[in-house]
Amino acid sequence: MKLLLPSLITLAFACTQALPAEQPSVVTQTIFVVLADGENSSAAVNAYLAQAAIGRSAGTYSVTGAAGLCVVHLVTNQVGFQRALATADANIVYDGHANFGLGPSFRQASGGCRSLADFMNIGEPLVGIDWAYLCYDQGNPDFEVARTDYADDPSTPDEYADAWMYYEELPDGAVALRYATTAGTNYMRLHFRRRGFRPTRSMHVTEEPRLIRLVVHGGADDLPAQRWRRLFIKSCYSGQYFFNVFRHGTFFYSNNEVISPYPVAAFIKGIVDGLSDRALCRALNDAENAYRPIEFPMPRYAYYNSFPAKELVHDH
Amino acid sequence: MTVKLAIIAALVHALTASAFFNILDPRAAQLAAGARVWTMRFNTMGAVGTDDLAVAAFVRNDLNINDSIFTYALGCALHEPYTEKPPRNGISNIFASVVFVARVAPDKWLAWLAHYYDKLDPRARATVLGTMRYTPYAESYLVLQAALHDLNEVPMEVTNPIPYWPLRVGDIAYSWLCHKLAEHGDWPLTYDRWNVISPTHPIANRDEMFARLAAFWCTNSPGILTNLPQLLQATPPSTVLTPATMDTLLERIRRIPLVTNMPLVF
Repeated sequence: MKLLLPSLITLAFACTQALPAEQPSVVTQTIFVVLADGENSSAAVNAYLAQAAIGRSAGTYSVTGAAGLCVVHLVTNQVGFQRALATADANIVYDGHANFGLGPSFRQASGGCRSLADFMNIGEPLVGIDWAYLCYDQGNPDFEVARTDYADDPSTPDEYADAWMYYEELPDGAVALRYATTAGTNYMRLHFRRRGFRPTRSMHVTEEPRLIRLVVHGGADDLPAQRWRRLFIKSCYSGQYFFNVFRHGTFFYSNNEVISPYPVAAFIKGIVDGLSDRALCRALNDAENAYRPIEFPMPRYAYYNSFPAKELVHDH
Repeated sequence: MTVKLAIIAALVHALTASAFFNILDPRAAQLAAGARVWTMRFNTMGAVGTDDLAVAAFVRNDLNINDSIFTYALGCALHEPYTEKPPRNGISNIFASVVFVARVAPDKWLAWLAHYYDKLDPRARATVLGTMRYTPYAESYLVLQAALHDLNEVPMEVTNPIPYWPLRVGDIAYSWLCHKLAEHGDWPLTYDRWNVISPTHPIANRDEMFARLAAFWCTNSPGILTNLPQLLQATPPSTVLTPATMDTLLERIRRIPLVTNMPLVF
């Protein structure tokens, strides 16, 4: 208690410092900014918050705008992302690798993911990965797939991961690759042969660049009960990878490759400014294209509202 | 004899390996399903008609830019091909140069591009269409509508070989037109999911999206265009667009050879 009291006094003082009397005191929007391995938005987000925030404490900022008082939480770990997804009416923006649909990873500082369980599994039951790309392009040099995690047919010991591949059409007209362990109409059989060994001798080596997919058991074991309101996944092809996972509120996604460091900050600002889903999506595309002075501009983000009745904000 | 055997063995090995990888490659299945295989592209600006010398001459004569470093960059651009690897990382000198020009003199640049529009490569045409996204004038809608017919492929980098169908100039025009309609509040909210055409949209699905837009546009365009500001009456006048530029652009867009693989009802 002796230790707790000064802390409470300090906290109360900090709160009064953070929120001047004339500012609104009721939090109207909660925003989680999830920065995972591969993110490139930190600088732009910090720049925006440094200019817009009226108060801050460890990892949390207060910003006011047309939407009222908005609290922005910066999150850099799996627990924080799970808490965000489970927070009622939260606005969440994620920046980082999609990891071919496995889900985020937060282990860059500790040498990267070493197994499938190290990723935050929020994907489809079967995920087609490019093992070499995960290892050498996305910072997981020691990543290996356990023999039991291959989505293969055990009756063919020399041909692993020979799952079936098919196309799934998404509500926006795009298609996504999906995988199954049993055949279906228009399914295509995959054959990934064992081509070499890594230290464990059970590893499939996908060093040949044209061998691009290894079908593994992904799944969504790390996905909590979802209560969020808006979710923006700033990863390449996040729509293809996560469309079925995030059928909850309004899901903002990419169906193309994305690289700009600005859309995450644009999302935060859009929420603070009280933009509608439509206007917010336009702001994301503007921010993406602002970073593309070389390539031709084109829209790369779309959105899908699973509960259109919850579109409460008037269009701007 | 030994040499012949070695050559035969090498040939057999190569053929076997080729077939082997064709079977293994999921893109073979994607191809069977109608997707386009990923290939390396060169993002040379104006591969057709607008050669780099024309750009350099434009910069020197029309813009009066005599900066030595810029001239050097243009000179390099004549010989340096596009590369995806660092440090260039997909950025060619010629693109860097033209972007610079577009920023220092956008009005002259757009007028120049409009004049050469039908000779620009699809990538450059997509760049020109992208400039329409911020203009509020009715003429920009007409330009995008006219460009819907341009179904020539826009070369772009697709580094992640998921199912991939070629993106076309008309697809870019479609996306910007939908965005402008949505921004202006004319496009139904329920249509927003179809605002973007990406390389992951099969051609058949794009046909449906075009048909939906066509039906909407045929019904609603008179009212929409009437309510939009006209460039001719703009006060103050646009600093980038001029009526002459837009007229030239429309006229040149209509010169683009049609690639018709779907019924258009515009």
